[in-house]
Amino acid sequence: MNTATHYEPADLALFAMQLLEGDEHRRAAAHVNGCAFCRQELARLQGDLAAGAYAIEMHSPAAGVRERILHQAAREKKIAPAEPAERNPRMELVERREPIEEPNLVLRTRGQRATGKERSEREDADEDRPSPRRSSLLQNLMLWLGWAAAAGLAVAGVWLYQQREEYHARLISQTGEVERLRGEGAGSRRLLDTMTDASAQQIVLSGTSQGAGDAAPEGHVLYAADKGTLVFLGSRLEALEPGRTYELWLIPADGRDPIPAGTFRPDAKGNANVMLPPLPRAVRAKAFGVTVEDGDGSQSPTMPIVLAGS
Amino acid sequence: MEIPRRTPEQSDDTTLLAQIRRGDEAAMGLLYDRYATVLYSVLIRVLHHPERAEGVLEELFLDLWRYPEEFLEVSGSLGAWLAVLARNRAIDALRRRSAGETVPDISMAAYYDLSNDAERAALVEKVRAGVAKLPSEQRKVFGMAFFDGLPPMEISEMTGEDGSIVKLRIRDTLLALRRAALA
Repeated sequence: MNTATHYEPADLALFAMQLLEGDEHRRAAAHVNGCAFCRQELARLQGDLAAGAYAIEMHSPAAGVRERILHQAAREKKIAPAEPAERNPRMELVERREPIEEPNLVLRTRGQRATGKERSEREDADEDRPSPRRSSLLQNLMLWLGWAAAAGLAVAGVWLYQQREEYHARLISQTGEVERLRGEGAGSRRLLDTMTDASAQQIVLSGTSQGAGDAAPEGHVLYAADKGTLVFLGSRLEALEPGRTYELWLIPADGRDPIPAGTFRPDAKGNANVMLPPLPRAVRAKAFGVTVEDGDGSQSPTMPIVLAGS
Repeated sequence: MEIPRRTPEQSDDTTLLAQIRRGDEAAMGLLYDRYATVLYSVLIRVLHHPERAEGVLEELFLDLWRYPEEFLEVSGSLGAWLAVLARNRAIDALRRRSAGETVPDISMAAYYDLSNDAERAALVEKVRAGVAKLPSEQRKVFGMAFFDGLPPMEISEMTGEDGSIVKLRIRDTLLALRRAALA
């Protein structure tokens, strides 16, 4: 299976398709991990497999799948509130109003019909009781107290609702911030890895000065082919008219077309940089060049090349 | 001359992933519309079961939503990577395989921009034409390995061909796919 130093493409293809078993798979993984040549071949094979995937007959998933995925995504991002456990403030108002009517209901329904004797005894006893006017005042007072309590509860409910919304908004904001910091952390790690990678290619790009006595523009590229990471720093770059941009190009060593490696515009001092543009991995670079393009850049370079280096 | 700006539907994958990282659900919808059909087609080809295929498809896209930075770190074509990832996950589901036997870090040398609708359609056309030119036995063996996840020995037993011939057929098919994609 293994030649003197490298895996044969057929075996790497089986590895890429996860068709090697147990120890055989682990041996191949260990070898690929330490062998840039085989990693590069593996990357090519993965590209071939992807092409194979695109060759098959196409079928569309049911429409509901998209809906489910987006619904779930929305729920996870917004940290769905636990609806059953929480009260809807509007409902709370309704619920709180019901007890207000209860005193009237009690007065109407709880009293049993009195017999004549009982009624007489009650009338005697009533002399010691508050007068009907006082009773009515008491009823009104209780009614108003009930309304006041309900209003207080409603206000408290609204206040609690607003508090919850505020905490919710703060939670979402802080979650977003954590995500942003995580993303920046990953980018910083890749940047640091590139700058400290001993195997990274370092290329100086030079151009021609615009006039006698002017210093020529120049650029420096740090490129780690196996990781597909690149850092570019340019200086003394001429300012561009609006709607134009500089574009960096990676010229592959295997003769393929130039690969766009990021666009940039210089600052007032003529400095510019490109950090970690999206690039395929495992592409050896023969040279780098910079052109001036329209708009947001191009998929193929437009002559002339204003900076070049190999 | 004024250069027309890209509409959101035309945004490249890196831009959409960056928007997803910021919680943009519309960007998620655009990536789904771009790749769901091919991923589902791969899943259904491997699993032969619509519900299981939909389940894996959902997991895949929700992973993309939950961990977009991991997908951002993949250089090369996201569309190509997702297609291989879908195939591998379907095979894992088929075999209930442990994570230790997978190829965790997929480096991808893709020579095409699958975020571009026209380029994607052109690739499909080219590779289909390339595959159509292959001998039927070769297509069959590659399908058994790639879509059914069968190792060469099992294919050898089923087809009666020697194991080394099976491996060569697989390698030749991949080379033919590369030539077709680059044509």
